[in-house]
Amino acid sequence: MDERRPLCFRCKCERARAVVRQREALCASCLEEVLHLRFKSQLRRDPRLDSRTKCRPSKRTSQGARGNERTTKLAMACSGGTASSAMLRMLAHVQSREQGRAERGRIAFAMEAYVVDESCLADEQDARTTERFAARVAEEATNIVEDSRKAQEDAESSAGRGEPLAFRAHVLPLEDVFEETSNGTERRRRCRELVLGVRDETGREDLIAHLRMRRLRAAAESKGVDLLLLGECATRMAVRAIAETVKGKGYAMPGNIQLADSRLGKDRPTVLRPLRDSVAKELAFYCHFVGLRLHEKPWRVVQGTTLNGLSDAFVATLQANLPSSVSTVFRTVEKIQAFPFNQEWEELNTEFQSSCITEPAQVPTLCTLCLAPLSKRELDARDQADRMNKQEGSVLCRSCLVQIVGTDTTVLANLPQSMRHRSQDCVQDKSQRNAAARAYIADYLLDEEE
Amino acid sequence: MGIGSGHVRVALGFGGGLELVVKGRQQSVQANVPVEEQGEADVSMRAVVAYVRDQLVEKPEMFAKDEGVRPGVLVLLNDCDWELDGTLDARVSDGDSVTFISTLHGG
Repeated sequence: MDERRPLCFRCKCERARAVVRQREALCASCLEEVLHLRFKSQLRRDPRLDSRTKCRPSKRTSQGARGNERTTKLAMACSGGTASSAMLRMLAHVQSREQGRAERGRIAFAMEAYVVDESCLADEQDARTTERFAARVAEEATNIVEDSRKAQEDAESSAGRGEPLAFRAHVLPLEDVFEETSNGTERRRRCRELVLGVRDETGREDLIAHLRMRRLRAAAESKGVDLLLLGECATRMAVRAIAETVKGKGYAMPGNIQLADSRLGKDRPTVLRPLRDSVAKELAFYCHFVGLRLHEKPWRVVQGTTLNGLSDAFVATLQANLPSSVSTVFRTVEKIQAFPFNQEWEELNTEFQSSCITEPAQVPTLCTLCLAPLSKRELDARDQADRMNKQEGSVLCRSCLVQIVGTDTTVLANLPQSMRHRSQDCVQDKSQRNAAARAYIADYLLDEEE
Repeated sequence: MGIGSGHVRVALGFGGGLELVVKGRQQSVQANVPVEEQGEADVSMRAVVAYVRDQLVEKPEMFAKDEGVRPGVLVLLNDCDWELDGTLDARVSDGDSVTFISTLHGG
């Protein structure tokens, strides 16, 4: 059977083992190499990770003093699934083995992984299977990194060179978004009550995703991380583009599919999506060929069909019939104008320094729940005031309002404090916002004497 | 089991969340797939997919569509993409392994 398979399209030496892209047949080694090259190329687009450019990371004003020049610190979200496990191995592969110094062909950075523990949402009867799930994923993450480093050392006969690089996988309980509550059991109860109180299944699924993202961002910020990496591949982006359009989030959607996302400001961790060039099938084959052990959450909070699931199935059906579908959808939505916060780091630095105060329109208002930039229409919507009962600081996008909050405000009341108050997420503080607003309407203000 | 016995031994593997729809949530199963015609020493992938759909999964619609697998499910025959061997028409011999991996995220 092996001899009947074609030779690899790329190396022409080994027998092909996977058909990817436009029916290209690749061997396992070439698939691995292609994915690693693509990944490295995406990472290097951020100059903080490109050893070929001289770039000083910004001075961080929060969470402790930072030196002028230090190794870029990155964290990655790890779920135990295909994309995040693949990304973890690729990161370990491209990381420079000498601390603080870029080796030829590698990138110098410090890294850690975050595993969000969502067991507080599982049913009581699933307790035995859910208990240690997050811990197992964290252990596996450590194994992946150690195995990758060992394999490279063996291949390059470089064992024992330099100090071993640090790596840790942190387990982050989801319920810790309720920072204002000190009791762990109470936090878990509040988290369950919030999520299970959402009647719409799509809304519930989306709320869990928003809470997860909150937790990741908070952890990254508290640990002084520069870049938070998400394992979102091209397939996931295409599915999200369809799902968000269907949910009425078309305005905000372009902001979620670009490589970089600094919507909370340049002094807070930038979210990076370096797997956006690779499709789910390629990553699944990669994981299988290199023998990664994957973990699937054994419980489900959402039982029925959701808009996200339907979008997933829709894209999968398209892709099964026409292998260029994901690429077509993704490349099309990529062309939609992104937000200023998606700009790459150097441009963003300049943008924030020069235009922050004089052009407040550059800094969008974000939904307090999902951090989506709000369109003018959403900001003007009258039902905002009705729903919010003129609550100070809460602003929601239409999708969150309809899908998550629905017709009853219990969900709003159950939200953690950090998701109820806009001021924590805005790029500018209140005095800067006032100054920006004054500058914007300066021509229409009457002088004191008039 | 051997040639002419009426069955073909296949080592089945499930990943990417598919194991959650398999009876007993097993990640690997040793199966004896009946041959399609008497005297045959191997079976088509079509027969293996039908066997899994009818005998092993609790929710067939999560695994199969018509006579093939559901879109989003990858299939490996002896650790290689089944597209290299003719997908549903590929022949599976005694002792071969077939792995099904879902790339879908539920919903």
